[in-house]
Amino acid sequence: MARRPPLYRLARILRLLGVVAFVLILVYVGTAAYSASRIGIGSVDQSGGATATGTTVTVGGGIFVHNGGYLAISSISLSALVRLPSGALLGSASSPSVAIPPGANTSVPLRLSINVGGSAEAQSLLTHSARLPTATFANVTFAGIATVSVQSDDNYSWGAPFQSLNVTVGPVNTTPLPNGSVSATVRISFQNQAAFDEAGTLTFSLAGSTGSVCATEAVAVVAPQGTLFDRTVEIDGPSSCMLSLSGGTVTSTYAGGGFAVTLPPEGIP
Amino acid sequence: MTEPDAAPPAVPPAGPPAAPAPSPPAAPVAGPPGTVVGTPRRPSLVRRAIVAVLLLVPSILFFAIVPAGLLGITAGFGLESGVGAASIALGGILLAALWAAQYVVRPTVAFGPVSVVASTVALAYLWWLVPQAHIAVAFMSNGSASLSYGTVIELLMLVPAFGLASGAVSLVEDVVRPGERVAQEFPP
Repeated sequence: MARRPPLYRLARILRLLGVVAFVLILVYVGTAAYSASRIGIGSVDQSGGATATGTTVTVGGGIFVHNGGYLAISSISLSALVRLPSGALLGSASSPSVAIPPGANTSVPLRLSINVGGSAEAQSLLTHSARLPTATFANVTFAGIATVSVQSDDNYSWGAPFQSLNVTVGPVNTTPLPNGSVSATVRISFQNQAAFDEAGTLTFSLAGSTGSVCATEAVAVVAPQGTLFDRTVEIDGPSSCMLSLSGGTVTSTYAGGGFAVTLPPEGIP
Repeated sequence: MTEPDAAPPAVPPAGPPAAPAPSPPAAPVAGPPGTVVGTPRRPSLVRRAIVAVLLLVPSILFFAIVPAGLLGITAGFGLESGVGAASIALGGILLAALWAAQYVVRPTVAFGPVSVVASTVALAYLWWLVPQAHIAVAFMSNGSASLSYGTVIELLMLVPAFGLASGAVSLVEDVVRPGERVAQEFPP
């Protein structure tokens, strides 16, 4: 059989390549769609996943992905923003970009860092649990041809590590001690609603109405998550100062396990 | 007895002169390898037009009705597309019409230019679609999702790119070797 003219053959080959490319693309896209339908997603267990360092609380989370399809998830990444009730940015998180081959099970970690020392409003989260507005973003590139972006707005349940902190100064015992000072009882109570245990020292100072510090005391705190802490201590101070505590303030700091924060001041009635 | 050295010249029989003997069929003239000799059997314009109309039906279905219908269905589920169903339908009809035109002009020298134009239009159409190739949906009033498939469209641009190259080669062939392509496609 005679060979066809070269230009004619070339045109036919190019036309054929177009058809082959079309069929291959259709098959690939179909396979990708089927594979995408076989992806399973679950959330990573967050229990015990919180740590505190300095004034920053880091909460662990993320998702678990099972790629049951025939094609790889080219990349999957998560990010999140958490805001204060006023709308101010409180913290953020972003995961690494993870590739998941076919048949693999992989978790995509997301660690949300919340700085509770950044502002007075953030500081109030130490003693008040709250539902914080969050926005979570996920970006998935599948099989190199399609990108899915998901945004979810939700509320994050923040558990305060010193929920309902009360440092209550009792009546001052006017009978002077041998060193000339007077004493008062101070009751410290709170509930640890955070996702981490507390073992450290709570140091509080009593300041009179003039602002001068009358007495400082350190109290050992051991409060596993979810437990109540309630302790009464006796504190000494100069009588002139202690007798003018009314209208003053109690300032407290906590340090333990790397977590070091200044708690919101409380007024003394 | 000896054999005559030569036969006497034949004397034509008396009578009216005979008609010239019919010449045998002309043998094909040897040409360049692969060339087809003879008049191409081009289908008539009417026949091509009828076939083109018949081709137009499935191609409009594939390029216009199905994509626009899918967009309409997804819109019913709250999915927003970056491109309107009407635009998709118009673009699809244009592509189908050009494809049918390619078929009609195939036995003519207009095939190459029409192929080039059709492929260029298809490329431009797909290029226009790329930045709009996404679908978005809002769910449960607290979230949204979007799917971008621009890469799929970019890959599909390979198809008219090959068509463009093929059309250009056909155009050159029709200019440099007139009749060669038509003779190959519509052999005598």
